[in-house]
Amino acid sequence: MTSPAYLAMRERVLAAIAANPSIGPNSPAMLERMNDPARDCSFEELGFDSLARMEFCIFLETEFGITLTSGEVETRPSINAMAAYLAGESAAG
Amino acid sequence: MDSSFLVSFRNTCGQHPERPALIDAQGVLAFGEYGAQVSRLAAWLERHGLRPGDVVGISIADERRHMLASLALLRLGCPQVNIASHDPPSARQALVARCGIAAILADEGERSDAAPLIVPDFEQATSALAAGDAAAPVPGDEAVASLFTGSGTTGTFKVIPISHRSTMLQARTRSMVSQTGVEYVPSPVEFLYPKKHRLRSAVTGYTSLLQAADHSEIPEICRRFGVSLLRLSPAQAQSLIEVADRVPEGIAVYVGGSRIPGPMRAAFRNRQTPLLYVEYGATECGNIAVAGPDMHARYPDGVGRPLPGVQLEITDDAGRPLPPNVEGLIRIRTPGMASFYLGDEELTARMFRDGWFVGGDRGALTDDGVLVFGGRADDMMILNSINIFPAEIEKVAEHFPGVIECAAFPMRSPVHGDIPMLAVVGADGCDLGALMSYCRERLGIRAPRKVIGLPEIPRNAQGKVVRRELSARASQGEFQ
Repeated sequence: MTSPAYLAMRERVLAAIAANPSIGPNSPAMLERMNDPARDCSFEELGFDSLARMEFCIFLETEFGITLTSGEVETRPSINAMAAYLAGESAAG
Repeated sequence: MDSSFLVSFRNTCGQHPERPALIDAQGVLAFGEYGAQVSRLAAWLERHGLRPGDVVGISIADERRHMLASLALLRLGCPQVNIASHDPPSARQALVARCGIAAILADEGERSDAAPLIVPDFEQATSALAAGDAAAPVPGDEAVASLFTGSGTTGTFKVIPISHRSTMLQARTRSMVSQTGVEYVPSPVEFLYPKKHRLRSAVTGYTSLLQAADHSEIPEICRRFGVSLLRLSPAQAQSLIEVADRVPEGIAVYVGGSRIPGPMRAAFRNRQTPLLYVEYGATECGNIAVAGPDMHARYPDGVGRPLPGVQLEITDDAGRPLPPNVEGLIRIRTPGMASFYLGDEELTARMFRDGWFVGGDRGALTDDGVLVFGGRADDMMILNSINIFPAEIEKVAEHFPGVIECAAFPMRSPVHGDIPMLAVVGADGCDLGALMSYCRERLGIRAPRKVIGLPEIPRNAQGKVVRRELSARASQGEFQ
């Protein structure tokens, strides 16, 4: 999926990861992988725990007005799965 | 009189030695062995220098070890303080200084300049070959068992001493659907709410399931371990509504920690289980009221009738009782209620009045005695059941270079409750991004999640910050 809506949401997901205070900084190799839309990266690999999921949701809500629960993050557990979900959600209104 | 908590714990261990006390990844620890390991660990800690009255921090993330350490400290008569691994170093240091912590029980690899560390060798200390029990006498019932910490209105955190007697009475007061069973509180022991329930279960003979889990796994875990009672934070309950799998029939689910709105109750009962109990309590008082499954339809914001032994009244600001159905300040007396804050006479006088606890919640009692929660009388924010006062944030932010004035306020979230934000009037060059990091380092989970630069802070004619206006602007998306 490479629609503009999807890519825009992917950028937002990346911003929420970069700003997350509950996970450590990512290695250059990991950053390269994260920034490549053709590849994917699971939240588990990024060190997400329950606090990190909460912070992820809070960032999307305060920055973009996107309301998400931690449960929705658990069931879309990678950058691309989350971006697709958010793109679908926003396309659906 | 000896600690009624320890006497009850010993009785439970003696009467039900084979009953599972803890279930975790290591397997089952039965009550008989649980009691024995606590005694041996207490003796080990005594040999390593701990004495009755020493205030001891616990910074142990492993659930089983944390519980053993907690009960061993109770046995030794050492008041304990949770020092969570997710707290930033400066917050941990402040806790050590404020509570007078003499030593910290820690995991291997931990570092601290704040107080001497003791890293228990659990395998050796709790092995059957280790010595039986500490030489120190069993502490008295009025000895301090725990120092609970919480958010304070003035921006300084409050420290609440809870005696052994109170710990026991609070354990007896909580609402349980059965005398025995398996209780599952998925939040980690480093938080106050799950820890209190694990201690209450230890003394009342309930089995505690210690298992970290994603929300989606909770129903399966409940099936696998035969859970009879599940305790969730509002955010966990909200997440479980989205999960396709359902908790098994017959499990009682308790949710407490902040306001649980009617639509969320309906969704949870519809998607998960009708056996939903909404609890109302306070750190100072323990459990106060509970709304059972039959109450939600009639009182969507009701938190139930006061539990046995609890007195509850609604008053005006001057402390005069109000008639039913009129909203006012809630005042409470519970068995085992705290009576003061450590080192804070002013706050003690404000919150504990004539033997009542007046915590700042508003509400009304219906004609048939159901408490309907009405919100806060002050500016306290509740983020996923964590209480945060604006003054806490403002006191930290004011010290950052270039901050002329600032005001913390909540952005209301349907999922997380109140997300703290900070409005700042800054001098030229005031770095708001750096200010956010500065707050995070000092406040941890209580930090503002967004810092907004404004030309001025909205105030009313008396000069008081109008936080409601800032909240409304945040809700309208103005600060995105």
